[in-house]
Amino acid sequence: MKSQLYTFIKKFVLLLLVIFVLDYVFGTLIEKAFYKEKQGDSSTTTYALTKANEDLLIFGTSRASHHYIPSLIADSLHISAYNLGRDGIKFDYNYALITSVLKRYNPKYIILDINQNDFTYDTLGTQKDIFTSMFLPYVRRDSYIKDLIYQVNPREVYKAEISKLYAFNSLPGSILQHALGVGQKNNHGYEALFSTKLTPADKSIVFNNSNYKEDTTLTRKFDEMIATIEQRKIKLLVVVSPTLNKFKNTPLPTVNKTLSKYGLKTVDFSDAFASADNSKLFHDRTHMNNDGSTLYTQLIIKDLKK
Amino acid sequence: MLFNSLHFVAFFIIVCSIYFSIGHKYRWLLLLLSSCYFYMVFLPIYILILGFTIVIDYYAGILIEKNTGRKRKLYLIMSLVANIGILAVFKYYNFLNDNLSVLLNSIGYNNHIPNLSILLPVGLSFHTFQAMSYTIEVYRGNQKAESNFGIYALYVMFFPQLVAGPIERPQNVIHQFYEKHNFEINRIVEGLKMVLVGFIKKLVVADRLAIYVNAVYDNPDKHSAVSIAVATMMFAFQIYCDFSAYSEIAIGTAKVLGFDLMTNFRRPYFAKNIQDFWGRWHISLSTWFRDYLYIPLGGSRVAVPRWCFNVFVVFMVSGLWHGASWTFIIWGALHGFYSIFGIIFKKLKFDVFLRKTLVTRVLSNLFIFGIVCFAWIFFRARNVHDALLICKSLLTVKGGGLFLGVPASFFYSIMAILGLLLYEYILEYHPNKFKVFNNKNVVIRYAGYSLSIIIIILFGVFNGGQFIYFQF
Repeated sequence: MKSQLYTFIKKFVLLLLVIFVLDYVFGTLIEKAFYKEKQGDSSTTTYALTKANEDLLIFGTSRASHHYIPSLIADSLHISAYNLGRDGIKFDYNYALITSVLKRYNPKYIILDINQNDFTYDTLGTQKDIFTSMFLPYVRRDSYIKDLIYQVNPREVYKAEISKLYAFNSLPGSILQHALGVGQKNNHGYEALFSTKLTPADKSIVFNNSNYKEDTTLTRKFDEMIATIEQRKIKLLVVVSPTLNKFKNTPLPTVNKTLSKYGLKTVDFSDAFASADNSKLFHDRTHMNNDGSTLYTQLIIKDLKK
Repeated sequence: MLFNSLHFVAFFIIVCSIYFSIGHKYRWLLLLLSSCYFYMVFLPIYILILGFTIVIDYYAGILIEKNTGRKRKLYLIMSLVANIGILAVFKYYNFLNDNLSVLLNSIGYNNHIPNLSILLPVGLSFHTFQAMSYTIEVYRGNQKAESNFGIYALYVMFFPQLVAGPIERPQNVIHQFYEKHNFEINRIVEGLKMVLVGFIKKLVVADRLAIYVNAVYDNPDKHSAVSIAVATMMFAFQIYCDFSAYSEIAIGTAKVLGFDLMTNFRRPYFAKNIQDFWGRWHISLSTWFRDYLYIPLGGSRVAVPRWCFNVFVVFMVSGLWHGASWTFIIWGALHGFYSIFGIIFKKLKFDVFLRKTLVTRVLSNLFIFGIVCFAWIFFRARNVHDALLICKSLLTVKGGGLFLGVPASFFYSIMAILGLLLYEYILEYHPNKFKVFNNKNVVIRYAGYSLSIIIIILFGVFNGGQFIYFQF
């Protein structure tokens, strides 16, 4: 039995070595390709964490990435601008991104597009997994991001430290897709939507979200972040961009309560185009198309000039 | 405890290390204690239910063996009533009560009997059927009553197959607990290969497909016919990989410890007819129903109408075994109808025409896959209303494009299905060619193992998704 056990351990260790070597080789190749991505959601996050140095940065969800045209802002205000909005995120993502950027430099302006779900309590417990999967590829290179993930999902940090490939789980397909130039292109982070799925008859709807519950950890982080931004004397614009989906309970009272401590107030553009033909300006109920975004960006420019 | 968790990996390594370090006479005790821990990780209190049936069936076995005539039968009936009674209370009580309420409401009465707010013990249907097979086999004289209570408890509780099978027979397993299992490297490696295949099927295929299937089946009214058809096809592969993965991990882990469990799946989607499908799908349950329900009802050695009735009863009960819901009963009934048509088809000798060419073979494969997929709609849908809505969308070819979800994930799903089909095709038609894990060349073998693990790390879905069959 002893000789069999010895042989087994020998073979097992050999297999582990082969796996570690392959993991390192493939992991390094995928990591390089990942950091070279020019399009897609991950490229925006990578840009924010490693390169962003613009005067004005826009943060938010998909509504931010489809609603703010940095080139228009840059041309009007003669400053550089970049849109760092990303699909499917909540405030925890923006907190990580903004505080990470502030560790590198102080932009002159920050626009934070607030979304209905930014501060909602994660009843299903899936948000920490989404947050982790978005930031795990940066664990080995960014100690601040590593600390943030460690706070919510320490096991994932250990896994990513053992396996270089693990951090890039499920990403090769999108890396390949963007390398081949398939999918939506962005311009300084702005992803234009064209055409509409609406009809002229489509009007805004108010949803009765009576079970709306806020996550106090997120609202506390929001307060901390605003304090830092104010301390650095960065001009902050907290905005709600136009939408056709309205909610009875929104994060605005909490957000405004926090902002008022610093003499600020949310700029609410949610009804800015209420009298317009929605099918001309909106792509769907929550996102404007390129025409709507162009008009809306002009409104933002006016506000920034004040 | 879930097989696809780090908890299980640590548990299994510890159990194996102690198992091969201690003497043979203490190993059953280690396995029993490990099995108790494995089960109690889910919900500790439910070990008492398991303990209750184990005590009942242990003494029932001894009393059946000691007695003759009517008494013997009486003890068997008592054991079956206890087992089915527990199943009825925990699994079917609320379903029956809800249907009683509907029935009484339709005639103007109210049902005042309250529902029970209890969770279904994990794997209840599996270990209940395994326990029942013991008393039945003792009654039939095929198995001696087990005198060692611990060994009998281990037969019901053996952790690799405790919560989702294979549903074993006492003749196959109990004697193995008395045999000495040495540390044999070849057997251990064989077991670990099965575990590896199981993990690929679960993490890379089943859980990946679940993302698309859940997105469509959770909102059937929002999707087109083509999206629903794709989701249904994906669910067919999801449930196959999910369940066969559990079986492979169970058989593999048991093999590492020195035990041989029965094969539970043999590439069911390569079946040529519906009888062939049921000879390849969940074999341990199909043979359980064959031995303990179908044959006692008369099996096929009766007139054709009675034969068809027997088949239909077995599939209805099989549907109900899977879940206390009308969707499962309809699923069982559909398979019952398919099988009856299969019998009639065979009786009228129509099948003679289908054996001739490769084209007819492929067409019959596709036909069987198609009708099995149709039945899966009822198995997967949240309720009968959703299932009918899905059928309506398919039959009326509801318009709209193909929903892709996350394009990269959809792409992985398609690649996972193609990879699975290629792997199964080779096993089905060229079992001695294209060997990777069993290749004589050590480099190819090691490349196979390590690339499989790399594929799991890179493309596996690690959200701790439960095995679908746990709910049964």
